Amino acid sequence: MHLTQLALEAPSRVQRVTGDDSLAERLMEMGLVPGAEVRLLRTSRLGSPIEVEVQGYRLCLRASDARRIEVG
Amino acid sequence: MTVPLRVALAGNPNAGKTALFNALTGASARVANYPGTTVERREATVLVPSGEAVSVLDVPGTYSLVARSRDEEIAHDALTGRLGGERADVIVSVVDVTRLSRSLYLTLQLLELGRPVVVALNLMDEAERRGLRVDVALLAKRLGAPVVPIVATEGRGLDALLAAVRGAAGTESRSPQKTLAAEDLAAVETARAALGSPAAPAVEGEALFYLTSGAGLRARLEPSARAALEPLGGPAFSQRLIAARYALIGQLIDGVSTATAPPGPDRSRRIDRVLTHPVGGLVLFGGAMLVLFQAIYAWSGPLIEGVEAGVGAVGEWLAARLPDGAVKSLVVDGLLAGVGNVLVFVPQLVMLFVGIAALEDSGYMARAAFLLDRVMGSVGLHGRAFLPLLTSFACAIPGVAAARTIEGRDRLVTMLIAPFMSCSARLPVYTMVVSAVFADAAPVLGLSFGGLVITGMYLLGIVGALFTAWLLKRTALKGGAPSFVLELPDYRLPRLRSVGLHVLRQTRAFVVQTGAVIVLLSVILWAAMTYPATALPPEERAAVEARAGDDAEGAVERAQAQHRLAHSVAGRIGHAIEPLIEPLGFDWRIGIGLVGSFAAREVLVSTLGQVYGVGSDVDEGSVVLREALRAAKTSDGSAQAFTPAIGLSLMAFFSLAMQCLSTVAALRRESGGWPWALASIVWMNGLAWLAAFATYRAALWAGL
Ligand SMILES: Nc1nc2c(ncn2[C@@H]2O[C@H](COP(=O)(O)OP(=O)(O)OP(=O)(O)O)[C@@H](O)[C@H]2O)c(=O)[nH]1
Ligand SMILES: [Mg+2]
Repeated sequence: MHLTQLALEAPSRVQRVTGDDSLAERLMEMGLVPGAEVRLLRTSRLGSPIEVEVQGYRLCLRASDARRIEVG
Repeated sequence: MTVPLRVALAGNPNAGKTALFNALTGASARVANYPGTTVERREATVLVPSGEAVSVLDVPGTYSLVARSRDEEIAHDALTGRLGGERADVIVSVVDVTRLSRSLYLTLQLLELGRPVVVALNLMDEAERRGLRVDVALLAKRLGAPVVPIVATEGRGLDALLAAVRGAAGTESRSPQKTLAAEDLAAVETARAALGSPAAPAVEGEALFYLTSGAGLRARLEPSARAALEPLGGPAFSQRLIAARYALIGQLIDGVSTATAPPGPDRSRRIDRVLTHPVGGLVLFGGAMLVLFQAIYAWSGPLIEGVEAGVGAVGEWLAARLPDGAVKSLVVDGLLAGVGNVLVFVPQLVMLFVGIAALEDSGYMARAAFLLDRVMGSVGLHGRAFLPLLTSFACAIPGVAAARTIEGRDRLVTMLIAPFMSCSARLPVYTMVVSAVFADAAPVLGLSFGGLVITGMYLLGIVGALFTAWLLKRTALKGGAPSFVLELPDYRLPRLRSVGLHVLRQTRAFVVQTGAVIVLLSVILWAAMTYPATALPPEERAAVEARAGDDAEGAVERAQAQHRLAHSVAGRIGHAIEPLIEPLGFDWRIGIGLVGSFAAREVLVSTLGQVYGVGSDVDEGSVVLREALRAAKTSDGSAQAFTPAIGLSLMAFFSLAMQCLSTVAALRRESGGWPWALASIVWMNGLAWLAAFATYRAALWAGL
C-alpha cells in the first residue's frame, strides 16, 4: 500500500521509499524515512497534490511522487 | 584591525534565519512565511556589545547539505566553503523548534563537518503558545554543542547566542554516533583516509559528502582518492545514511520535547479546512484576487486625486514664477508632467505591494501553490513556480531570481514566463487607458467595469505565460512532470513591521528607479518633441483660419503646435514606425510613446501626457492625463483619437510585451547568457503584436 491509498487522518508508518533517484533521497531527508509515522491529511479535488503530516509538520506532494512511499 | 569573526546562519527554509539576521545586524532583509524566501547570500558586519566585530552571513534555507537546486548550492558553498567559498568560523544552526526532528537533520550534517556549531532554537514563543516544553540542557548535552533558545522576531536570546558563538569559535564539533552497518562504517573510514591521509583523516562530513554524491562532484578529486572511493557509496548507501541520521534524531529528542497541550487539530489545520478546500478554496482564491484588483482600481481613487492635486498645484506655482520660454516649457511640460504622471500611481502600487506582502506573511502563499499545482502541472510546471510568478506581479526581476528554488530545466521555464505577469510598471498603463476610455462605463454585477478590464489584462498575461510554458515543455525544454515537494508553514498574522518595510522598500525602488528614468527620458522626449521647431506654412494657416471662423486664434495655435510636433524628431520617428503599428490601431503619436516605453513601460504614461498635452484644449501645465487623452482628436480634428478599441489594443500589447531592460539583464544573468534573454524579447514582443492585433480587430468588430 502506498501513501495516497491511506484513509484520511489514519496514522500509518513508512515502510520504504522506492527508487534510488534524488527525489527518493529528498523525500527521506524531509523525514519520510522507514518507521516514521505519517498521516494523509487531505487530497485535492483531482487527487493531486496531497497533504501529509510527517515528523510533526505538514508537507504537500504530488500523487505521482507520493505513490513511491510505501506504508503499512 | 582584527578580522571579524565570520558567522553563517544555516537552517531549513522558513526557520527564521533572515529574521535572526535582521535582529543581529539591524538589517531589514525580506522575511516571509514561505519556505524559500531568501535565494542569495547576504552578509553584514556588526559590533557586538563587547566591541568585537562579527560578520553575519544569511543564506538560502536548505533541508540538507546535498545541493540539488541553485539556492541550495549557494547555501552549500557558504556553509562548507567547499566550492571555493570562504569558510565560516562558526555555524549557527537555526532550528524551528516546532519542527524539531526534521530540523535536526541538517544540524547533524553540520556537526559532521567538524566545524564549531551553535544551535539556535528559534520560535520559542510559538512553542510556549502551543504548550511545547523543551529540555534545552539535555539536548545540548546529547548533541555535544551549545543550544540557545531564541525568538528571532522579538530579538530574545541574542546576547546568549552571541556569547555562545564567541565561546564556540576555534573549537571542533563532532556529530553524535550514528548506527551504521559495519560495512558502511568501514566505507566511511576508507573514504576519510583517502580524502585526507591515514594519519590525519578528513572529517566525517567530507567523507559522507563524496560518498553520497555522484560522479560529477567526485571528478574534482585527486585520481587516487577517486579510485579509492570508486566502489563505495552510491544511492543505497545514501538512503541507509539518511535513515541512520533520523534514527539518531529519534534517540536525541526522546524525552527532550514534551507536549503539554492535548493533541488535536491546531489552528493552521482548522484554517486550512476552509482555505484549501478542494472547491471552496479555489473560489476563495479567485475572490481574494478579484478583491485585490478591485481595491487597487476602485478604492485608490481619492488618493490618486490627492496626488494629482498636489502635482497640479506645484505646476501652477512653478508656472507662475518661471519666465515664459524653453526653460518653463521643459520644467512644467517635461519634467513635472513626467514625474507627476508616475507619482499618481504610487497609491495603487502601495496597495498591490501590501496585498502581496500580507498574503506572503500569513503563510497563504504555500496554500495557493498547493491549490494551483494542478494548473501548473497541466503545463508541465512545478507548483513552486507559483511564487516566482506571483512575485512578478510586483516586479519580474525578483521573480526571475525567486525561480532559483526550482530544480533543473523548470527553473529556466519559470524564469522565461515570469515577465508575462503584469508587473507594477504595467499597472499605470492599464489604469491610464481605462480611466481615459472606460471611466463612464456602467458597472457589471456591482464591479467596476474598469476593474474588470484590468483583471482581464492580468489574466491575458497569465494565459500568455501558461501557453509559453506549455510550448517550452513540449519543445526546447522537454522534460517529465517535475516533482513538487513543499512544506506548508503554519499560519501567522502578518507582522506590521515586516510588511511595512517590504512595501516601503518596493515603493522606494519604484519611485527612485522610475523617477530617474522618467526625468532623463522626459527631458530627451521633450527636446525630441520640441525641436526642430517648424512653423505652420502660410497656406495651411490661411486654410485653418478660414475653416475655424469665430475661434480663429485658438484653432491656429492648436494647428501650429500639432504641426510642430509632427515635424519634430519624435514626430518623425513616430511616423516612421507607423506602418508597423497601424494594424494595431496605433497612430504615430502612440508610436512615440511606444518607443519611449522600451526604456521602461511606465514611461508611456508620461510620454502620452506630453504628446497629447500638445495642442489639446487642456490648460497649459495641466498634468491630468486622462482628460488630455479623452479630449485628443485625430490629426484632422474630426474624431476622437483615443478610442476604446485602441485602448484595449494598447493594453493587450503591454500585457505581453517584453519592454524592460532590467528584466532582460536579469534573465541573461540567471540563464547564464544572452540566447534565452534575446529569445524572450523576440517571442514576447511577437506575441504582444499578435494579441494587440487580434484585440483591435475584435474590438472594432464589436463596435467599440
Ligand atoms: N512567532 C515567531 N515567528 C518567527 C520567528 N522567527 C521567524 N518567524 C517567522 O517565520 C517566518 C520565516 O522567517 P524567515 O526569517 O523569512 O525565515 P528564513 O529561514 O529566512 O526562510 P527562507 O529564507 O525561506 O529560508 C516569518 O513569517 C517570520 O516572521 C520567531 O522567533 N517567532
Ligand atoms: Mg530567509
